[in-house]
Amino acid sequence: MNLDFTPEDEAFRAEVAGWLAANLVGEFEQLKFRGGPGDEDAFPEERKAWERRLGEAGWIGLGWPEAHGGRNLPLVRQMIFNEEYARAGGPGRAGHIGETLVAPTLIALGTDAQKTRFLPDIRSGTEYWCQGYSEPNAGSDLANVATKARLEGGKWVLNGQKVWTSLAHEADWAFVIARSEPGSVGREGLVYLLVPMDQPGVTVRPIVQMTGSSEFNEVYFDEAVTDAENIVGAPGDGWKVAMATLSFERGASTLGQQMQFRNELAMIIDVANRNGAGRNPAIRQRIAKAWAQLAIMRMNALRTLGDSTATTLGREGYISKIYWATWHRNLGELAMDVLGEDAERWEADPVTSRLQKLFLFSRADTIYAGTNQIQRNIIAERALGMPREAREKTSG
Amino acid sequence: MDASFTEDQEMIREAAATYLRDWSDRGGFRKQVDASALDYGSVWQEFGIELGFAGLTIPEVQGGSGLGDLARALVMEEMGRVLFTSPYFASCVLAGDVLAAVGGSDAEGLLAKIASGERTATVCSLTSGSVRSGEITGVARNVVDGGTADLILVIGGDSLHMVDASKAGVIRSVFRTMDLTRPQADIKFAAAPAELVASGAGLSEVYALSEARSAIALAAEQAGGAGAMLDATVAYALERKQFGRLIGSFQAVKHRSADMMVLVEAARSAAYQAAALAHGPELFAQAAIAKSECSDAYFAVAGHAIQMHGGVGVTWEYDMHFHFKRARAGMGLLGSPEVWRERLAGCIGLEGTAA
Repeated sequence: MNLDFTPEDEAFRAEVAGWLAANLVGEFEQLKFRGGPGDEDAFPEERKAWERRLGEAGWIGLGWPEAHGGRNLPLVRQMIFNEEYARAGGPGRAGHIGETLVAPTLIALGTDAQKTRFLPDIRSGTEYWCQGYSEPNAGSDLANVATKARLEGGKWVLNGQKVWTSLAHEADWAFVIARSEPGSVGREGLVYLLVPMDQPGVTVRPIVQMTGSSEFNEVYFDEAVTDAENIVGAPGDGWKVAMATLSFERGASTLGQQMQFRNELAMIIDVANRNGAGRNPAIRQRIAKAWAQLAIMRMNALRTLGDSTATTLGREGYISKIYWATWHRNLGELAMDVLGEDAERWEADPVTSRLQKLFLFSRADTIYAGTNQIQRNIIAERALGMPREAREKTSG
Repeated sequence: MDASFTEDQEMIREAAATYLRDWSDRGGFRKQVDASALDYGSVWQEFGIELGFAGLTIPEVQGGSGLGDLARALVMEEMGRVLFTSPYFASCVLAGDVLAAVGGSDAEGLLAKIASGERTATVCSLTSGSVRSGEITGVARNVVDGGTADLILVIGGDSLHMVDASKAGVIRSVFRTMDLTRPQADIKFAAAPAELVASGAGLSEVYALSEARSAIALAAEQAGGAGAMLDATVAYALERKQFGRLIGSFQAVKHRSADMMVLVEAARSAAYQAAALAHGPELFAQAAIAKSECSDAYFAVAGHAIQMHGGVGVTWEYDMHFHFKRARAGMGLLGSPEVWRERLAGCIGLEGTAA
């Protein structure tokens, strides 16, 4: 075990930091620290322009194989990029769904034609994606999807409703799981389709969140269409492909997330020093505990990386979602206690505003991408080998 | 950047685990605590001397193996799993770390004795009394292994003395501890002969360094204890039936088991990271992180383990209460979680001190 970075890694870190310092200026200066959780609707067009800048400089697709336009960098380098990006205040990424979910899925399971059609536009930051998984009756029970797809005249035709679709209002394409075998239930009979968003059959309705902003949406398919070749895997393989996509969610990007958390905690410490809350012994204890657990979060991620040659996720990998989500939610509460009565002054200044949004948005952290309750099931069943929950025939 | 263990480190862990499992199968801590007085004799002969674990982290020039704090953390984790009762913690960790931090030929001479395992040591400071030209008069309370250690290191503000426990003027009163697996004693020094090991104004900083290193080792032991409690709980949940089904199939039981695993894996990450960084500038912050989080985790997990075992969880026959008691005792050793978090607050840019 050696927790130091190699000189080559440090040189890469300096290169990333230097590039960000030279480019987060001018028209992009205003994007610093913007577009994060609770602030997703800030500067949508400017953030897309920023994605194109990232793409031109080769910062998208760092981990993809070179054959697909990536740089084939190891996870450590990807982590360094994400850490420096957060440290520099790089804006919330508009293209992360395409880069970290769609692209790895297509690289692993897509056809050559799909790779040629979609990967270059993701890598250049010119085409944006959203994830059509959840439905009103298929949240944690994802296999209960009811959206229907039928093949007709060389096209897939979709009918149904998706919900909690992040950034659908900014997306050019969606990847969707839908039921292609009438009468099938659960994980059988599903299909994984790539669907263009700009068409009469697709309606996007933003959902206003408790922060007052809108990051996610309802998406309605009413005889929406996509070409027959826009299927990943075969009809009936939808569940398998969908799970492959989810497995890419845990990646190097969550390692960089800790630098964003560190920025937030530093901001809270600044406030505590300024307003005197930092002399309250109970507050000091909570801030120190938050710091300790953030350090643990990073080490836990490094341990998972350290086992990257293994074919299965190390046991410690299973705790990361529930650990960071719960930590972040607690941090939001701590931030409000440190702000004291100023917590009630909505958007009084940029720092207060950011901490208020952190407080509110982080209630979602323990819900999306697998609720804490689902995470506990996963840990108990997969990491500890305890019996699976009883399931009705209608679901997976 | 590589957060995996080396083959050597894994080998040391496995060697320790193999012995400790066998020791446990032969009666383990129960055999020792059931005896009227804890008897370290045969276990230390085997583990400390013959297998050479006494010298694990002591430099080779002093007869040790010269391995790092990470190897020690792995061994401590394994010890914690089986509630290993031995002089290792007091002698090789507490006393060994003080001597290594102090340095100098006298300290090195004592380290060589500890490394061979032939003498055991402990550390204390006087709650009252004085150190005068070669003799000590005073009282030290709650000294770990104070009833059995051969050599007693006495820490003063600007001095370090060694008292041979067999000498006249050393009166040791062993009291029954709540945590039976780590005995303590009060020691009265009545003009006991004392050898000066080191002196100087900077010693208190040196002690702080060694305390932080020792706290990391203790944190690793706590992570091990927590891990054992998780494993015992899951095993029990997979054999105990109620309402016609394994209790491990109930979501209430699964979810609490999951929470226990989160605590255990976080504790292990904390201990490993701290051990890996124990000789760098982050020592104090890392010790604070590891000791506070591992103490809290062990206590919480041991408490969960009792709850999840139901009625048998509160019986003497099952092991949970021994872990629960050791978790409680360890919390207070080498600085409580609250003390370490307050120290950490000072390392992370939080101004001032607690009002």
